[in-house]
Amino acid sequence: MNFLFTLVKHARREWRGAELKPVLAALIVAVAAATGVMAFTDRVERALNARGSELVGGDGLLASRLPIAPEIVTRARDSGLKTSSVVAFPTVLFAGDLSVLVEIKAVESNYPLRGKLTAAPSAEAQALTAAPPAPGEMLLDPRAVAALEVQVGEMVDIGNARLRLAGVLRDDPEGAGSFLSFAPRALLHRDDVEALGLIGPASRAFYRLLIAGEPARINAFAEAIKPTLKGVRLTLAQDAEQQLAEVGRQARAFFGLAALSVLWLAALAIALTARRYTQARRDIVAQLRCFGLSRRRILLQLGGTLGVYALPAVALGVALGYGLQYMIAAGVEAIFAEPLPAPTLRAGGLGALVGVLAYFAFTMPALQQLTATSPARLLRNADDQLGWREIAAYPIALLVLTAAIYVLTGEGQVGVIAFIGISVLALCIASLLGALLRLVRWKPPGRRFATRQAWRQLASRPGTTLLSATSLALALTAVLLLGVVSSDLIRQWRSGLSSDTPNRFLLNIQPDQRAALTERLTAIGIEDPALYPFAVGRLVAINGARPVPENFDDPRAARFIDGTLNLSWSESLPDANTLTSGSWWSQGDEVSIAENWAQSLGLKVGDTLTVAIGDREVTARIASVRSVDWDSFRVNFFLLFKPETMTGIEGTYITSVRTNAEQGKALGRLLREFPNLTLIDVDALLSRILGVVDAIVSSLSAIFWCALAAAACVLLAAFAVTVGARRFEHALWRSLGAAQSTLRATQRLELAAIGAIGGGFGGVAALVTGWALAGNAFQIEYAAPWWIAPLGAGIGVVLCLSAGWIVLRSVSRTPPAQMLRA
Amino acid sequence: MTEPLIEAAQLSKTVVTAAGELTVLDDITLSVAQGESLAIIGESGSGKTTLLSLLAGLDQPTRGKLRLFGSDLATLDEDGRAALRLGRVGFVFQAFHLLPSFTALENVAAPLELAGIDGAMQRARSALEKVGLGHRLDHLPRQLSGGEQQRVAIARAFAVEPVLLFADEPTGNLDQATGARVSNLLFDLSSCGTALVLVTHDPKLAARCQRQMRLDGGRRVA
Ligand SMILES: Nc1ncnc2c1ncn2[C@@H]1O[C@H](COP(=O)(O)OP(=O)(O)OP(=O)(O)O)[C@@H](O)[C@H]1O
Ligand SMILES: [Mg+2]
Repeated sequence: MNFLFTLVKHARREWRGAELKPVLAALIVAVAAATGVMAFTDRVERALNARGSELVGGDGLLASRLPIAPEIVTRARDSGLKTSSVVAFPTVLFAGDLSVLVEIKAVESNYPLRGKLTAAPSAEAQALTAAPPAPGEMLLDPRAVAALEVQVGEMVDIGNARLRLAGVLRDDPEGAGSFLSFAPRALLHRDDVEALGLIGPASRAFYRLLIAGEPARINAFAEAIKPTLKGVRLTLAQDAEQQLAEVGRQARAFFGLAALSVLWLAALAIALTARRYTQARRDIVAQLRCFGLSRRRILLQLGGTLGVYALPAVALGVALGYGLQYMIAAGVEAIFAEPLPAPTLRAGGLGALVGVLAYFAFTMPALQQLTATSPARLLRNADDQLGWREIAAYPIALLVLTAAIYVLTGEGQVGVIAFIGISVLALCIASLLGALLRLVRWKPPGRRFATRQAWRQLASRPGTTLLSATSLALALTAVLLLGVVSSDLIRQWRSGLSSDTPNRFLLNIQPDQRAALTERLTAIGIEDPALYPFAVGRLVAINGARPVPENFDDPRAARFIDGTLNLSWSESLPDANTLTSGSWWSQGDEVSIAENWAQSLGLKVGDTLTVAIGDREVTARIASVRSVDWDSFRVNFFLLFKPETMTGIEGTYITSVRTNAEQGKALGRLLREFPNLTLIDVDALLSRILGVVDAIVSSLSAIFWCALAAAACVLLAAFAVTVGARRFEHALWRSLGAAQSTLRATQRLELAAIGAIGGGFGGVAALVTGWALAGNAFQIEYAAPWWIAPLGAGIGVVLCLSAGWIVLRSVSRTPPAQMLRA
Repeated sequence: MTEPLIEAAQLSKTVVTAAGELTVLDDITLSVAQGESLAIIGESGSGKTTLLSLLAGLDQPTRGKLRLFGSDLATLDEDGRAALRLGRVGFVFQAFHLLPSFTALENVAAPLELAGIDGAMQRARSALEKVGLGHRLDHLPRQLSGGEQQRVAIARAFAVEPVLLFADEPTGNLDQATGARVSNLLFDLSSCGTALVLVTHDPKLAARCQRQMRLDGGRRVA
């Protein structure tokens, strides 16, 4: 009790001394970041897990681009399983003058086999468990309802038919669409599909068969059916759950890593402050030891004081962490169709744990060193060099912290890689700066005394300078990269596309519609669109033998072998294609294949391929390999046949066009005339994908702002370390006749230089990263926003001057005579 | 023209301590003219260092009048007093007081740079050579012995070729030979017109000064 009282008294005195402020700020930031990230990733994981079992809509799912063979359905029923078939395809709905692009899902009356379907009588009303739509009815996603401005009970035009809107769709289990929904969905009955006239042999339809039953039967059926599946993919609910769990795990690792960067910086600030705190007490401790006080007692007293301090900071950190968590989630939540589950208390506990761990791991080395102070210190005026024990303690502490993150995020390898990467970057920045400082010391630039003196001081305290500037640079790199460069890069990439890149695809054009469609397209200003024939097939044999996915190293090979292939045929080599080997058509049945496809399957010119198209099999020699510019957004095919080889194959046609906003609308209206056409809006698709990227970037940004806050704590701590020395130097310069204003200007210049250099480095590093990304990932000429280098420098200057104002203000207030009496 | 550099009248200094008021200096009157040399002697704790810092304008007297270079220090603020010292006053502290993160050379160059004197580094180097430290230019204070640090402090004080040089026990930490060399340097300056105010326990050094003054318990006794 008495001890506790002493502690609190002690703590209050320390608080007035303001020595511990940086350590508390760092602790608050560390705990807030850890709590925020843990709470957020926990919510994401629970959202994914909750969906896992429902996502499939059954215990298993067979999916194909072609109708599921009736034998499979019969076999499933014979195995004692319930089945429900689904066909999904995109189309445009009309109501009056309004239209909307939707993803149609035609389902049977027993849909779904697992999970819950809910709908509401209006967009605002409470959702209720609903039956699947009866023939003649449809359920429509709220977004589509809003776009069409229809009420429940009214009629909606689709293809050749007109269906009654029976309800507003809320929760629809089956299919990943509800998780990452790109287009609004419409549910209708399977029996209505024929009458719509929308599905041809080559429309973009997906066929699915849901199965449900006892696990043993499901597994037995899966085992039995697997070898016979051609172009059909089997997914079991348990696999889907695993995949979702994997997504959750990745999210956790990704965000955990971001949190780790905050923790590392915060730990640095904590270690610096703790060292300063203990160093200031070395003489006292040496004396106490002389008087015979035990090490344990001293450790308890000092450790206890630090501990008393940590409690409110941890509490505040946890509270801020929950706030932060909402900021992080706000971005990502937009991707999910429904709100994430509420955050748990557990995350706060874990965040606090990590913070406390970091606190102790990084104050202990200094405390240990302090209590190991020998009384002999009083005799020698030993300088404050780092002892090897202490130096060794910090990497161990860092390892402990990283291990903690590993346990909490379930990710180790990425953490280690990131650790090495950041260390290398930090080392690069530090050694570059170090070289600069040596140069500056040798010949300080500038004419004015204050300028030269500021440089000299920077160079004479390389530790502080490097630590502050490097921390600042690292944090600003992350913030600027995510905050400015990434969005700028995406914007430039997108605007680079828009010149003449096609932004609409028209599929399922029937041969007899070609002339009429071309005429109508010309009428709305789209000249001479290239129509490509299109058919769907399956790879049956390579050089006469059936390919087995297991025999290929490339995991994509399985998709090419089991999945369906989009085929076309052409007399001439299309734009955006160049031959890399072989020659264009010569003798006999021939095919030209895309380079990456050839690589995955290990094919070369001269091999033969057998492809099943409908009930026909076509065998052709590979005449050439083409490299294809997939980024061109034009119609491109893996397999391009010689027209003669495909004689007699009934294909449909496909085209890509470039529309402006006006033409886009006209195109929508055109579909009334050609209801069987499938329109794919690349713009909308791209917007959705970029929306997801944006969401993740904004979530990550929230964390990296914490990293910047942690870097600010490092500044506070690193500057605070110099307070004693600065007081003395200030007094000495005064005795030499320096004016107060000169010394203030010197200090300000010095701090500003740290900020400008660190921040500038951060800006440049972000630019270089963005530039490298532009070249490699986006493959665009990047007009780098060079202004972020000065922006980074500016932010750095403001941060350093503010930190200096907080901790170094007192320096110039000490009268010189008092300081120099010693 | 021949106005004294320092004119002090009835200077007193009292400080407030936990045990109450303590009179450190009491009623000191003195003057120092250009090129003159004055030795202040007295027992430990008699107030020598305090007097020196008052005379240099580093501290303010509680009572009394003090003129430095003809300016009344009471009418000047901190900055005004600092400006008075700039380039004209050298100070050798009892505890040397070197800038710990600056090398010997940078320490000596500091007041030259501050005064905006051209060729600061060159002059600093020759000053260090004069005190026998030409080979230790790039060493930090903590890499130097007490006596070497003291010599750096002395070099810093005379490198500006001051009009007035204060030195608080400039030979206290030095062996005889080095001590003699340093005192020769100081009196060379003196013969070139620099006024010297020395605090010393060394009777020989004190004897070389034109005038001596003894303090005892803060009072002038001789
Ligand atoms: N700011 C102060 N607070 C308390 N006491 C002071 C202060 N300044 C001076 N003194 C006291 O005044 C007395 C004279 O101090 P001063 O340093 O001038 O002595 P000194 O003559 O230089 O001694 P030494 O030869 O040991 O250096 C001492 O007793 C000292 O404790
Ligand atoms: Mg003294």
